Amino acid sequence: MEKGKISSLQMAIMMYPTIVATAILGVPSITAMYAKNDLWLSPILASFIGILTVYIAYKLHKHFPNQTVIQFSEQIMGRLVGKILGFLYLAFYIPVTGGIIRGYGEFIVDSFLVKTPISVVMASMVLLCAFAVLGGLEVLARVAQLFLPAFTIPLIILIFLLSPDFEFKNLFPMFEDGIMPSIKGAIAPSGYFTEFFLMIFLLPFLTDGKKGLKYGMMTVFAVMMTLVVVNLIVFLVLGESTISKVYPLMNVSRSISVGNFFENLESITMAVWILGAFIKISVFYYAAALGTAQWLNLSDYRPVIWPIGILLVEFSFWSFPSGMELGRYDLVNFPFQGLMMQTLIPMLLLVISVVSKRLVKKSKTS
Amino acid sequence: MMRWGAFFATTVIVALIIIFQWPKIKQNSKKDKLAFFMLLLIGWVLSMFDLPNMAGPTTWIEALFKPFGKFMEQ
Amino acid sequence: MSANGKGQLLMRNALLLLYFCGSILFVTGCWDRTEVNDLAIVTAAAIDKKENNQIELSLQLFIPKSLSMGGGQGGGGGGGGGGGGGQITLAASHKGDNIADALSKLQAQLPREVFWGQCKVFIFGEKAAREGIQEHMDFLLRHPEPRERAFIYVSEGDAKRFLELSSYLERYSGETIREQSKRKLGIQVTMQDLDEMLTGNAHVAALPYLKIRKEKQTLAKSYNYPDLFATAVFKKDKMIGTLNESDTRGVLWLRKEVKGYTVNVKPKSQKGEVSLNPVSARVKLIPRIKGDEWKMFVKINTEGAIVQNGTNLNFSDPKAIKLLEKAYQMGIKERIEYALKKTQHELKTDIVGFSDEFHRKYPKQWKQIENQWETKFPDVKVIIDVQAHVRRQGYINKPGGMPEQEVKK
Repeated sequence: MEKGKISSLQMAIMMYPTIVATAILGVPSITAMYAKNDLWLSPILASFIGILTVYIAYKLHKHFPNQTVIQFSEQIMGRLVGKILGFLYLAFYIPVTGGIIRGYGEFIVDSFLVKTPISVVMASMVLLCAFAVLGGLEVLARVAQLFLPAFTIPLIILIFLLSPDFEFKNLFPMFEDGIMPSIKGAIAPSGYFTEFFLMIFLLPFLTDGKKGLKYGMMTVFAVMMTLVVVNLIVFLVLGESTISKVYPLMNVSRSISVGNFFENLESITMAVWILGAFIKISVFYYAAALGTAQWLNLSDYRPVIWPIGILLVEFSFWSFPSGMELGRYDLVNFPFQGLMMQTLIPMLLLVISVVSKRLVKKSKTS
Repeated sequence: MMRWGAFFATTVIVALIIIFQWPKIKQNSKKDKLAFFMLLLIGWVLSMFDLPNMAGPTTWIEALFKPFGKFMEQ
Repeated sequence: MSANGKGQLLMRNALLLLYFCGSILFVTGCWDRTEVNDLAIVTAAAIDKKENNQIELSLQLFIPKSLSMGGGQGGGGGGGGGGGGGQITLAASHKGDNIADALSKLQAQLPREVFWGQCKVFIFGEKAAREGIQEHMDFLLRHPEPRERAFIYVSEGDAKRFLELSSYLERYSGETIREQSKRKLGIQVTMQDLDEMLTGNAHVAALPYLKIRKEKQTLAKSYNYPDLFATAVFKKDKMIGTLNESDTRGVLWLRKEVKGYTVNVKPKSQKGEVSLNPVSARVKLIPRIKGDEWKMFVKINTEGAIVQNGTNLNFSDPKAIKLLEKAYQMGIKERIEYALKKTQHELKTDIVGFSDEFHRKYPKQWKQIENQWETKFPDVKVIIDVQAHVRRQGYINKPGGMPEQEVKK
């Protein structure tokens, strides 16, 4: 079905913006809401979920080297239960991708294209992503490779330009109410970390599968560091007012003023975010298309790309009457749903497959 | 309530997809073609509804995770 | 290739061409197309409270025509709309229930779309400030265009007058006010700072308090200029009082914002005064709680340079320097004490940020009195310790233009 091959480094390069892109925008204010000035700890705690998810994904891949979750769940659970599970995954990834597209649209319409209908903003993004997905895995990987510097370098520049505004005393006193607030603040970012399970759709096409685990863990670390740094710079600049902001990173980048010359740099944040959202949506889109094709036992995933594009835009609207509703969903629902679908169920699958393999071995030896 | 604009736009897009995609999948298997048309049909039918204000999969899932959600909203 | 295939290829290319041409129509972003010549650029905004619970929103709008018509006569400044060639800004205003309402009514009068992105000065009239600025801040923080770095002020009387003020060195009064703020003559508060103060520990805020000063010029007409040395003090979002110029300077020391102004001190047993410029100032606030007693140690370490000597002291003499340093120390200490007397005991508002210091160092104790900070703050004992040094004396050592025999030995 997928004839392309990528290296594990390329997989890491795809996964990094896939997780970070949307997280850097909203996570600072969500974590600040619970953890206040200890918000830098939350991504570190949340990254344990990421480590666990990557480990499970890799182990599952070891057991079923050439299959994705849609295919091996049938092998583990039997045809019927496996098909149901596969459908659950599709019913998870397609709406989630819709939610990401909506988040992208809301941000663009909120901040820049105030009068443009959101459907146009979203549909044009889906159109672009559809072309990327049509190109196949190799094209996606190269696009991610191409954009990685454009994604990371502006972020680093942002940190340097903001450093004169850092108020380090904002961080004290640390752990005023113990560690609980930071743990609670870690729940929402851990939702983002569960998205590492998307690796399961990429691992079968690696040329150097053995390095998959190493690069996966490195990506988790990179994502964690990025979120810690972003949380820190936002809170160092905005202080407690971080909590009330919808897109705190935007406020921060707008407040840059270095030598009366570097000012009004929110376009950097916007550019970074659009690039990141493009890669993120493309990777999710790819997983959804590949998964659908595998679930239906098609010969190729390309015929379903365009129809799924329509579904994605429709799901981005479905049950989300407003941007606030989407924000609430991301906070109160996605972390748990993501954890269940992308960490707990895979863990269960792994346990069952390990146990059944042992049983088979035992029955053979005895 | 039906939103004619969205329905009309979706209809046009579905038509365009069929026109441009058909030559490419003509030689594919019957199953592929069936999946292609079924998914398009689902998308087309969904466009007839007022989706933003309609309960959907996300609402059901939200109901499922309500206890956790309550914890987060404290 | 068959003829049929060729036809198909041609057809495909034609469609592709059509697609590319067609897409040009959409990639321009027509929906949100805003050209500079469709914008009314706001350079300063004022919000005043009027009768019947209405507010008046006044905008200082930049007149682009004035540039191309050689606005060299620049001085004109904004008039109340209309009249006078060469003016660079126009002050337009309208009443409404709140900013959004007034803005939409004002917008109806203007041929161009109001653009806030360049507005770096927001002034609240005193009346509006006394009734609370929270709802106005909501508009400014919610709207995507106003900048975090914009400066916020409170004005004596109506704020609108400041938009109509003529400006001499800068192009318009908004710019004058902004440049004055940048030089940190009074306290400097941006929208971001104000947001942090209002949501912070102490629930108080301080904004620079603008006044109009009138200077009579001897021959020509009188010359008006804005003056922002005073401070308006807020409890929650409501203004409750003001600090005068010298109190503000004391507050500047405590807020670690001292910069570029001259301190005049009178050394002991001397007739004249010596003027000093603080070159550097390190300010430390060290909180201490012992039992029920809350103390704040204010440690200031400053270095100054002599700018004028009105006494007959010779500063090459270490004794004279000691004398001067002592006087400098006392001067700063007094200034801070006066400011504290006013903020701590009269207004009872913690605009100097003691609450943050206590919160940081004593989180547990802070938790207990968090809600009674207002009553606790006046009880905090402040111990001021100033280390002042004079490091530079300028180009002359002895008092300038003074015969040798009069200089104190």
